[in-house]
Amino acid sequence: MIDRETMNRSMQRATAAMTEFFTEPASAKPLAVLRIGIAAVLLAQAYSLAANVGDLYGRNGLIQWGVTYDADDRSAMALAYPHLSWFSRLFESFGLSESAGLYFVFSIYVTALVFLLLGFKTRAACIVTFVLQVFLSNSSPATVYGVDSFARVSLFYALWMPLGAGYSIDALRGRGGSIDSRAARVGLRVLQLHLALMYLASGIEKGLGAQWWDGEAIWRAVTMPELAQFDMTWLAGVPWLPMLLGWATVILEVGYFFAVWNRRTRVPAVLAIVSMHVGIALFMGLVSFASLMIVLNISAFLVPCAPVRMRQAALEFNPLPMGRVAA
Amino acid sequence: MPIRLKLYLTCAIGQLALVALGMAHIGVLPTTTLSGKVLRVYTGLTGADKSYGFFAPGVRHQERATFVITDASGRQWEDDLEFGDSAEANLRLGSTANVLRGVDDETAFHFMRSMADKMFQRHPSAQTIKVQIQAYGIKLPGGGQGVPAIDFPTMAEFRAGKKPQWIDLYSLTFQANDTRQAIAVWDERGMVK
Repeated sequence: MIDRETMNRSMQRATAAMTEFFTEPASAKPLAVLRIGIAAVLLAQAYSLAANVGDLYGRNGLIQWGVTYDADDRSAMALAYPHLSWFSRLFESFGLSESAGLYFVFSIYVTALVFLLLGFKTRAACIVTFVLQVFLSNSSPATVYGVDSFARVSLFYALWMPLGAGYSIDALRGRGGSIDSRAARVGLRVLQLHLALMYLASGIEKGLGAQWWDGEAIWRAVTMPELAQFDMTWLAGVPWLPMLLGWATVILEVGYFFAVWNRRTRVPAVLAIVSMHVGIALFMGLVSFASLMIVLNISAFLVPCAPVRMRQAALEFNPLPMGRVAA
Repeated sequence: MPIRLKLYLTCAIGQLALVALGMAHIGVLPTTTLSGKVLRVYTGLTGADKSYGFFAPGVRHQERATFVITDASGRQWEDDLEFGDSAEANLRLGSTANVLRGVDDETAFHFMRSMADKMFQRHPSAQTIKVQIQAYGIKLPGGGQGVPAIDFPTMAEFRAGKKPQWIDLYSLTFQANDTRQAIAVWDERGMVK
């Protein structure tokens, strides 16, 4: 039987390990890479959507506001869906047409992304980007997909992370905060755990479907006209290949959750997931989604996060005087 | 540990707990209560309510909308939703029809009318526009209300010669009113979905 003292000691050790896991100081450089990566992907996406802003997000776009949004809804739940229609009166008061107002909002979004990329007024840029991303995606719910979900999640986390501490104009001006911090570790851990949980959930849900075990999911995904980039119907003649890829996807996504915490298995696991996303970009054309996922994976697990000062101390360490002391 | 860091850490762990519950499709509180509503708003805004079941448990067949446009002289031509200026825009616009299979008839009607409105904007000489919803696959036994059951062929079916094609599911015809807005032209079958 375990006595109370042993249990208390175990609890204390577990608490200490958890505290160290979450709060040991870390370099903010991975978060800087995250900031640059997210901003670059979302800027590229904004560039590719700029000509169709009205079609996607406008009142008279492909799916008009009235179809997916009840402007008369004053309930608390409506607050969960900030919508571009909220700006209508503001546009009117400035004498802007709704179309001009929409492009004005979009240009603020793009400007904030540029600031985020450069790390200039990083916190403010983050807030503006997140808020406007919420407005834009809520105003076009029929056209959003995975990349928008991850953009929202990443930008929300970015609000709380010391993103401007490295590789930024703010850092050059001495306003980015410390490059090593406990806040950087907390931010990094949240990002890592979110990714690991997400792949686990995705892998389990895929594993519950027969299509991922008999290869039909891969067959469908790469031959549907909506996503197919090449004629992949030849896969029907080699059914073992999509089956192998289906199994690999499920095992990789579930295994990622366990593999990324071990130093030896981390890099192979992350590189395998990155390869999967490269495949998604190449064979399914989901370039924005794949790019964002690659950015999240690289910044979470592949950019060294040991505190910069600790690394410098290790590099500057000279064993000779210690040898003399020993002698 | 400084109190500020403690607070930061508590919030981070709380957020991750909500994310994990969202992924497991577990609602923490009913949205009939105030706290449940607040939590729903929070998880919706932060993306903590996502389940991340990409292509899970399986990949469904694809649907699309095509448009048969007729002008005053009876001339007909076709258009589709991939009128964007980039692959990313076309991916978003083109996949809109997939939303229709998850909504009720009334919502589907409003989606189709909205699409017709956009087509009237794009084709000013159009008199009527038929919005045709199609699915990519092969016909299966069953279906109902005049709408065929469709699925994408398996690899074995494909090898046996069953090739997928675009199959008409249901359609609605709209004509423009004086302000170039789409109004439905009801046929004898009424709204079919």
